[in-house]
Formats: sequence, structure tokens, C-alpha cells
Amino acid sequence: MQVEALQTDDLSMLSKESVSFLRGRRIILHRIGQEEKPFLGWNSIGENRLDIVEFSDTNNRQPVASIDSSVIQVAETDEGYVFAAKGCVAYNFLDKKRTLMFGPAIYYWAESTSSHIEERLGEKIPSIFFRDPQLAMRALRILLERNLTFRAVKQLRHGTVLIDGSLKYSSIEPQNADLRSIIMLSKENYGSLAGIAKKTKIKELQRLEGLLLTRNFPSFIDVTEIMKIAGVEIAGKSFLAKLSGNAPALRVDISHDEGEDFFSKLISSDAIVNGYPETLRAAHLLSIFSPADEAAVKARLGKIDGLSILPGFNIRHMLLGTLEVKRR
Amino acid sequence: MRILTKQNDELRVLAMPGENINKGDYLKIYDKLQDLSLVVQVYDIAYFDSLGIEEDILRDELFSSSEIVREDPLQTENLGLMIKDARVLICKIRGVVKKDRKENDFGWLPSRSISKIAKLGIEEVAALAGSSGERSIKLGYSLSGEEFSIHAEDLDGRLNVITGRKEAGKSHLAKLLVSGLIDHGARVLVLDINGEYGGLAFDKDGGASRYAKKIKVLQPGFNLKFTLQYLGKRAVVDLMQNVLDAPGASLREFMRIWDYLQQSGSVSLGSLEDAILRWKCNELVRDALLSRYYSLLGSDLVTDNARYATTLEEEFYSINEGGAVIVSLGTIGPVARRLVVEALLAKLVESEEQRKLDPVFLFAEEAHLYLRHTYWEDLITRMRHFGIFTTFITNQPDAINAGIYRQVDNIFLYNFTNDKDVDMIAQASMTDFETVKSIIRSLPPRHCLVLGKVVNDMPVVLRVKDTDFQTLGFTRLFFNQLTAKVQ
Repeated sequence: MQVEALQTDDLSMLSKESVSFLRGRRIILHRIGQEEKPFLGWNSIGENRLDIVEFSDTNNRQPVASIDSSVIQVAETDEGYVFAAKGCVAYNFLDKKRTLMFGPAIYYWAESTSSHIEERLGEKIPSIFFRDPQLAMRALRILLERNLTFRAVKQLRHGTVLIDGSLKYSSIEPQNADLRSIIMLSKENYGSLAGIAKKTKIKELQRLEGLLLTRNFPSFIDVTEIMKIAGVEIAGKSFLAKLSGNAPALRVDISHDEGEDFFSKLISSDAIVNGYPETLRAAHLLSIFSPADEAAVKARLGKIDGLSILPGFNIRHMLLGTLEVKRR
Repeated sequence: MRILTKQNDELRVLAMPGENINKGDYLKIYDKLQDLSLVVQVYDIAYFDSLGIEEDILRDELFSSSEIVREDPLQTENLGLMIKDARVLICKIRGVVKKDRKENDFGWLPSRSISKIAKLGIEEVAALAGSSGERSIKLGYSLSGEEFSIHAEDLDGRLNVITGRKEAGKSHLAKLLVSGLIDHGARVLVLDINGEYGGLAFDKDGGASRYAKKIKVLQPGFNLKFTLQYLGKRAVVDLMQNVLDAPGASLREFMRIWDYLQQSGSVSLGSLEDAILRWKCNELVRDALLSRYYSLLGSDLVTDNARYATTLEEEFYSINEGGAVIVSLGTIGPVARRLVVEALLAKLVESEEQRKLDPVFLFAEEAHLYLRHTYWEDLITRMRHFGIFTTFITNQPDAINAGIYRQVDNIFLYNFTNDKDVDMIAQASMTDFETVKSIIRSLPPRHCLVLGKVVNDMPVVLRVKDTDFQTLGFTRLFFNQLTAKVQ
């Protein structure tokens, strides 16, 4: 019996057309697990369409706190998932470094424990968050980060609080430490709140990055309108900014400050290393799970009374064999 | 503790930081399903390098200057620290225990998942080693502080080496062995190069020790002199040939002269000189004989006055209940030293051959300084059969050749740091290279690795005990004298 070719004319044609559409385009090749940007940006929008504002260091120094967290899945039961979470608040009190580290903490996330979780967090959690571990980890991360941010904002009067990522409202917000309350508290404390994202998925913004990359000074572009057009709801204003002369552009969401005022204050108050605030870098490095952290969490699980660890097997190895072919 | 891996005769065991395990300790790995235990010895300890641990440590160091407040609801941080400090015990398999009896490793492996691993006490190790003897000599303590003894019977008929770098404690151990042997009625001959064994007769306060009456210190030229008659033709010819390098022709004439004197019944220094002067022979031979005669005379080892002369039998008879004859070699010149040692050993062998003396334990400090190589081999082959059981004490392991090491029954190894010495001794010792090399590099002072029959080939690390008698040699120090003068 012969193997017949599939009737894939349309798919074959589309592929050929795609190749022809790419003619004359500039591309950047992706590598496995790495986020890459073109060195000089896409540079596809004329400079005259948007204002580029340069800013500089001032003597207005304030305390800075940066928050980051990470959540990993460490186990599962027949009805749910076990996650471990770590969070970090890195402070720079006018050059005096302090760090608050939370965790590693263990969370059992299952529908049978949902009411307990909701009661403890004061938030109704949609059931999908208990069925999809990716969504659950995201929710857990937001809950942890909001709590840490709330604490930092409460502690710092006239201070700047930075979080890793965008300043977007989430479908899950803890009742007493939701983003709205945090922004309100920040305003009451005469503070500043911003989210700094290393990469944006919005193509319009990617194309704008080139405008900043050709500049040799710290500068920013207000992209709030572009974000609105792209349908992304941000709590405050959005900017593309480079925080030092020779640095990549970052997307910065600022809750209530004016752009120039905020950026000048930030680069005066925190060290900017390779274009990134040092406290945020510290919070990131200290909150990621190392293999030792993960092993410690698993060891802690093993100490729980009555918990039995079942022997497991790798289904991919069993079904596909152990031949290792690197995949994405 | 858990078994991690096994390769050849090596087992790697994971241990957490709180477990007090040292290099040299024994572990028993008990598999209850098979009711068998594997006995292993830890010879090195390393960190457990789990994936990514180096980055983790780098991260810790990076933020070490920052004040860190931790909020750790489940105390997992402590577990993380334990993981970072987890150790791998690198062990050598020493045997399998079946119904309390140790057997050689026959390739059996205990279960990695259910085996229980526990540290073995020194008494349990000794019991497994199956050492049998009734006369124990307490030498010190194991690393865990348990008392450690050997049996005097395991030194009987054996060849021993005590080696290690300078000031590691070799002589201290040698004195402990000497005192232990004396306690059990043995007779010991010590060739004392530094004049320090006399301290056995004194307690720490300077009073007489319990060995005072069992110690005889002989000083060549003073209370150690022999008559030519006692030394005899064989011993004197040995001295002429091996120490004084007399040529063959001269030796032949010397033997004729000796026979003549013996026939005339006047073997003495005076008659020997006369005979050489009057003997009809080549003048060169006469000169050669005369120069050797004066060397012998200058050594003060030989006397014609029977009142000042002694015999080995006499000296050993005086310590019949056990004791040590200490021959102090520190204050005499190298040629005289060799003459004394050669004469002593020649007479000792002769006496043992003729069963005039009971077996003797010989302790030779830095023997390479006065003992010719042919004699070393003689000591370890022929002489041990007559009842001379030697212990060499040296800080130069390469001074003893590999052939001798192969005959050694017990080695007491102190610290060595020099790579050449470590390699030499590791290759020559009777256990595996890795154990010796790793352990002796890190031995602190007064600690030694004991190998051989005394531990039934189960190497043990020992902290040598202090003594109630004086053990230190006396070194005249310039600045001490200066301080004394100023005061």
C-alpha cells in the first residue's frame, strides 16, 4: 500500500506566499528561550511624529523599593497543584541597601481548598484558576506582588516603588492590596509607583524603540495613546524610556507622576546598571528559584506528616524514548 | 546519610551538615532486607555540588553586603542552607559484614533506598577487624574521642615504620610503644639519636617515673664499652670492613693477626697494636691496619679494662622483667656512631642466634644516619627470625627503600604535605593510594594513620595520647639562653 500525499495545496501556497511577503523585510532571529531585540531597534517610524524628552539626574534623591516574585510548580496531587512562591522587596534608602525576602512558601491550589484560599485572600477566584496551573501561578504571583507592593508603598513616604512588569489591573486582585488601593496609598504618601517591563509585545512600541536607541542621553517617549489604541488598559501613563545613555529602551508605566519628574527622580535615587534600576535587578535575582531553593521546598514537602511521595515516571521518556533532541 | 553512587571500590555517601563525620571514620551501611552490612571508610569529604549551586552561592555573595530580612513561614530557607552545605563522603569499601563477621568485599551492594547508614565506633571496628591479643597498649583516641589500643602481640615478630614530617609526634608515639612493650615485660633496645628516650625514666615533674628502674641509658665511651674478646673476631672484622672500609688484603692480614692473638690468649687493644706493629707484612697493609686500629681506639667503644666493659647479655639481664636499653648516639661523631651501631647489632644477632637473649624489640630513630642499607635488609629478613623486631622512625620516607616497605607489617603515618613524600609513602603503604594520600595531608599534629596488622588492615586515624613521663627532646635555643643570661 502506498502512502498518498496530503491535499495541502492551500497550506503549501500560503507558506510560499509568506516567504515572498518577507522579501525586503528586516527580521531578528529568535533563539530558544531568549528574548532578543534588534541592536538599533526597528527604526521604522519617523522621529518627527513623537516627542522625545531628555531627562537628567537631579539632587532630588528619594528612597526606592523594587518588588519582584516568582512562582514555580513543585508537585501535583490527584485534585490540584502544589506551588512554591518567593518574593523580594529590595530597598535603596539613599545608598543603604536592605532587602525583605519572602518565602519560599508552599501553596496547595485545588478546588477542594478554593474556599479556604478565597477566605484567606479575601478575593473570589474564578474556577479556571484552579484547573490551569499556568493561570494559577500567574494569579499567585499577582497576589504575592500586590501584597509586597502594598507594604513597600505604605512604608515609603516620598519614595519610589517599582514593580517588575506592567501596571495593569488583573482579573484577580487581593481585596486589601489591589492595584487601585496601592496607587491611592502611594498618592497619599507622596510617593511614586511604576511598573518597568523589559520587553513589550506591542508591535507599535517595538518599532518606536529605535528612536530612543539612537540617542546618547536618558530620554523617554510618552506612548499612552498608542497603548490605548492597542487596547491595553494601564493604570496611569505609559512611556518608552532609556534610563542611561547606552541602554535599551524599557516600557515604563507610571501611576500618577509626570514623566520627566519621575524619570529624573528615579535615576537620581537608584543606581542604573546597564539601563536598569539596581534595586529591581536585585529583587529579580533574589526572587528567582535556584535549584537549591526548589530542592529545599521539596524537602519541606517531604517533612509534612502523612504526605506520601509516589514514585513517578517521565511519560515522554516512556513513550518517545530517551533520545534527546533539543526542542522549543 | 544516603548512598549516592558506587564506582569500583569507592562509595559516595550524601551527608547533611550536622552529621559529625571526619576523614578516617568508618560507616556501616545496613541493608535489613538482606541482613548484610557494608563497611566503608571515609577518606575524603567534598561538597555536594547540585545543579546550579555555584550560581546560588554567587548570588548569596553578591547580596551579602545588603541587610536581609527574611519572612520564611515554613522555614524552608534553613533546608536550602542545609542543601548548600550538604557533603559527599568519599569512601573506600573495607568489607562486608555477615552475621557479625567481616568478609572481604565480594561485590555486594546494599539498597540505596532503604539502607541505614551509621558511624562505626572504634571498638566496633576493632571487633570487626578481629584483632586477638591479651596485652593491650593504649595509644590514644579515635577522632570521636573513644579510647584506642593495639595489642602488643601485633608488634611481636613484626617490622614497623613510624614516619611523618618533623615535629609531627613520631618520637612521642615511639616512646608510647616502648613504654607499652615494657609494661608487658618486653625488652627493648633503642638507638636514640637525639638523646631523648632517657625521659622515660622521669615523670612530668622531674621525679622518677614508674619506668625509672627499667631504663638503662648507655653512653658510648662512658658506660658502653666492650672488650675485644667480647666483641669477637666476626664483629670486629665487620666493623673493619663495613664501617672503617678496610681493603681486602688488609682484612686478610687482620684476621691472621686476630687468630694469632687468640691462640696466644691475649686479645686486647694493647696486644693488637703491638701485633700490627710487629707483624711481617707489606708496609701499606700495616699503615691501613694501624689507621683502622686508631679509629677504633678513638671511638672509645673498646676497652681492655674489664671493670669498665659491659656485655649486651649483662645489660639485658638487668632488665629481665622488661625494660629498655637506650643507647644514646647524640653526642658522638658519625664514624663512632656507626661503629657503635654495627658492633651492637652484630653482637645482638650473635646472642639471638645462640639463644643467649630473649627476643628484643629494636627502635631505630633516623636509622638512615647510621645504618648501612645492607643492614636494613638484613634486619627485616634474617634478624627478625632470630628475634629482633625493628621499628624504624624517620621523617624521610624515601630513606627507606621500597623493598623494605613491602616487608613492613605496620605503618604509623603522620602528616606529610610535601607531594614527593606523600606519593612515596602512599605507594609504599599497604592500603589504597587514595586513602593514604588524602588522609595524611590533612592530619593535624599528634594524629596518625595506623595501617597494617595492628589494626588488621582496617586503617584507623588516631589522636595519640599524652604520657605521664617526659617525652620531649631538649634543644638548646639561642634566645632562651640569652633571656636566661639577661635575667
